[in-house]
Amino acid sequence: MNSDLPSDIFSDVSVEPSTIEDFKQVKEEVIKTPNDITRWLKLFDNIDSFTNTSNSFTTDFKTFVTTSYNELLSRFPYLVAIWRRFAIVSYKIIGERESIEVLGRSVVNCPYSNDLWRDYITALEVSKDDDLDDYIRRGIKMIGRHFNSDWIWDKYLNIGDKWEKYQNVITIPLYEYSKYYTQYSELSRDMEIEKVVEETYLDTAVKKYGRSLDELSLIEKSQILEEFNYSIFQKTQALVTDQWQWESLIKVPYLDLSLMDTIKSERKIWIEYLNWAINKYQQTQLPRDQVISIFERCLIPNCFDEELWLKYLAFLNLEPDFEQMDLVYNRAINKFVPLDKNVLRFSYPHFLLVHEKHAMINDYIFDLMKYFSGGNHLHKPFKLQFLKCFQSLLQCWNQMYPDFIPYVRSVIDADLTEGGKLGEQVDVMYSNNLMKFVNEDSIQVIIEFYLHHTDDNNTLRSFFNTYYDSSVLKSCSGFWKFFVQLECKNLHFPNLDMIMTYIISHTTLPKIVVDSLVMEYYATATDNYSLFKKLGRNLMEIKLWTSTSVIQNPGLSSRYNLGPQWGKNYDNPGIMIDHKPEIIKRRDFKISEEYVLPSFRNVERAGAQVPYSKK
Amino acid sequence: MNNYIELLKDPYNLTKWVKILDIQVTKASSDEEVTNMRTIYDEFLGNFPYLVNYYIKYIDLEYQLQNISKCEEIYESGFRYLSYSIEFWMSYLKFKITTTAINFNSVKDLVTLFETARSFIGLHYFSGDFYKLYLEFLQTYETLGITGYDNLLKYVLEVPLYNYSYFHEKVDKKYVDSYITTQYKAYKLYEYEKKLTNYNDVKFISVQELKTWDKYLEFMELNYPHEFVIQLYERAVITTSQYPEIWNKYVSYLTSKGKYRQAEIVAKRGKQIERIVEFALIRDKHLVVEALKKSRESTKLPVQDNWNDYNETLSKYLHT
Repeated sequence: MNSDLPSDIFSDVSVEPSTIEDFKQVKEEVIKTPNDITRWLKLFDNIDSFTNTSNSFTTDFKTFVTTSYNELLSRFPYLVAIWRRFAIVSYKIIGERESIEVLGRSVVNCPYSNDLWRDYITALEVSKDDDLDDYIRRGIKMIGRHFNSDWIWDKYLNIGDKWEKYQNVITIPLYEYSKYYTQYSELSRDMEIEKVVEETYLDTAVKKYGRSLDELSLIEKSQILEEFNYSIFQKTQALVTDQWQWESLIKVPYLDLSLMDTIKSERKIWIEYLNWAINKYQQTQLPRDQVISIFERCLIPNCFDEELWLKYLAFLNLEPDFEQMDLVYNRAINKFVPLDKNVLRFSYPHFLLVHEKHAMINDYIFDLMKYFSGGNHLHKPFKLQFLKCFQSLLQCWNQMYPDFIPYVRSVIDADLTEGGKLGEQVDVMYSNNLMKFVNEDSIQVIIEFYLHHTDDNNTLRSFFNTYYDSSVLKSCSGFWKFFVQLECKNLHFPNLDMIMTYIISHTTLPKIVVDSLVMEYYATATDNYSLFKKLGRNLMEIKLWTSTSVIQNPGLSSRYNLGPQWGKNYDNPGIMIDHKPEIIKRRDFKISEEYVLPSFRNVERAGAQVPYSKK
Repeated sequence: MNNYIELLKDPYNLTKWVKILDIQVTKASSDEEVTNMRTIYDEFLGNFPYLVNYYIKYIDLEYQLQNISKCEEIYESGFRYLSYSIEFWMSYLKFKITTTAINFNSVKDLVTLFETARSFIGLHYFSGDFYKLYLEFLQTYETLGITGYDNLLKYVLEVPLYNYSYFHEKVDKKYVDSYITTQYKAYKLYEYEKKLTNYNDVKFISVQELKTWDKYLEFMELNYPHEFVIQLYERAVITTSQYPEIWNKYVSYLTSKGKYRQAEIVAKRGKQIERIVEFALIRDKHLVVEALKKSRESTKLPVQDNWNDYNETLSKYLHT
């Protein structure tokens, strides 16, 4: 697949490196953009061409190669092709043992890759490894339900007792299913019928003859056997035929960063495939492991796809097993799902909550909070995600700690007023931890949470009166929205009007928010016009608050703090022109009455230069 | 016939209408042909009420048939939308001058009509031709004892017009202050006027042009008396009738001046046009919606997940 890539356009690595210093220089360029796979591939190409021409390698060089591959593979553990190259180059420069060790790590890091297992087992065979059989057994566990895993079944079936393995393999929908059926059928003919045919099946079949099993002739027995075998064959065949619809369409079942477009376009094939499998599972026609196998295979090329991970978790949650789901969560959170996709990350604390792992929740969220706040200086802060951490933490704590809402209020008081004290409902350690992260933005999340969890109107209104002119709240959409909606709901127009007037002239909310609040007010007013009328206001005045014109909308000019001078420099922005030629005392004109000329002002200024600033 | 079928499939397509509107009728035409012509034009103008040229074309056809009262009728219906259109008024005034029997009273009536026209379009930047016609008219009938020529000329000097200098050539130097002031003002307005085009179409207009209208209107609001602002708004909605922005701005302007009743009327007019335009754009809207849907497909995740009910929320992902 590397041949698809252009190899001559990256000028910065165009000089063929030959010394370890050269290589290190190239590597420095590569790690500047660690996600750019083409640069990595170029580096590996350079390593390859160097190793092809040379025979002895310094320890330095060997370490360099190993760390380079490790760096990329720890970033993208599902890059099957890179693991294979790594194994080959290790073989060349270090030796067979090292190469096998690399393959061993590859199947640990990417345990559901059919290709890597095949390489690994083949290498172990060649080296005549003593534990080969054990590795084959392990391989069967991981990839035994892979559609193309017949190669490993061939080996596995030859280890020890065959019969049970055959009984297993013929129920698995494999591409080569008929081969195993044929072998199985032959084998079964030498077996006692009770060992082959399921008990209930056998009972019903025998009853049809009206005699006991012992009384049946050999031919009759073999007929039952054949029929039973055939019924298994038919089931497996139906599954294979179904699966083939999608298996035949998937062209890139591995992760290749240069083929992401194809992978993306094949995503919907995978989804159809998975939906089919989930359905079959729910109808008990497909075992859970078979569905897991398809999920795991799908997640190799689609490992960055948050939605598919969630789908996987949703599937596992049908029969929840904490350990198993926790492992999947950890893989997705720590290795694969990109940092700007966080649905899954924020579902994890709730997963822990369901399983009552309270300490884990706090550790997880505080870690995440620290990370998103930019606290470790490795990257820029992710503000929105940081705030979501707060939301998530508050939601969890609300379920973990009794009497939590008064505590939230105490956090707000402690932050916004002097001498406010923190409540004791939450462990001191966590409480202090929380306060470290409270800032102008996160306090808004806390306030919103408090408001939405308080029912009493009097408490809410007194909260409003305490804090409405706090500078933190000037830009807090949630706070204002909450009170507008509250007073709309209560149809308290005097309060509503006061709040709106304050919003219009004193807050710094985005216009789109102000507009939607105005429209909410407007809608409530039109629905309850008789109440609204008592205010002595006109409905159209309310609507005017949404006007974008600073001239027409009095609220805007006060929000933008525009003085009376504003209009004067309209035609030459930034320059005041005080004296323009003007007509004054203009009179009404009537055709039948004599027209008296008006007076003029500043006529001599008409030709004056525009007073541009000298700077 | 094919043209008609095409139109039935797509009744708000101006290009298809134009093909059909190319009708010639003469006095020799049959009654049926004339009725057809009228039906087509009435239907068309119901769909596109701001296309002044087609009103005038319709009137011309009736004029050829010498149906003077029918012409009047069409003018009347046109004025419901076009009372601030210079083209329409000019056409109407010329029509009235040529079809009125001249005597002192009838000329008096025409002066009243000119005054009505002036109240609508007298402050229009391009009303120079109107004033020329008006002045010529007054001059011609001075012999009948009609006064007002000198008055009107003095008045015109103060209106910031595109061809303001034409009128100053007719007076002596004592009007120099007026000349300078009007020149200054006319130049200022030209900054905006030069960026505007006079549409007679229902095509989309450019964003820049909408912006220019917006800025021009603000400039008027800041610098000119109410009647100037109104005439500019009326001009603006003729050209931008299918865009809600200018209608909304107009309503806000009237509201901000406390003229709630007028604001309501304008809002209703805007709504009426909006409905017509919505039909016309419905196919394009369809495309827009499709495009939006497509772009959404890649970001199908629900915006806000409520993980408080973990099992319930997670299960939504099972069949995504």
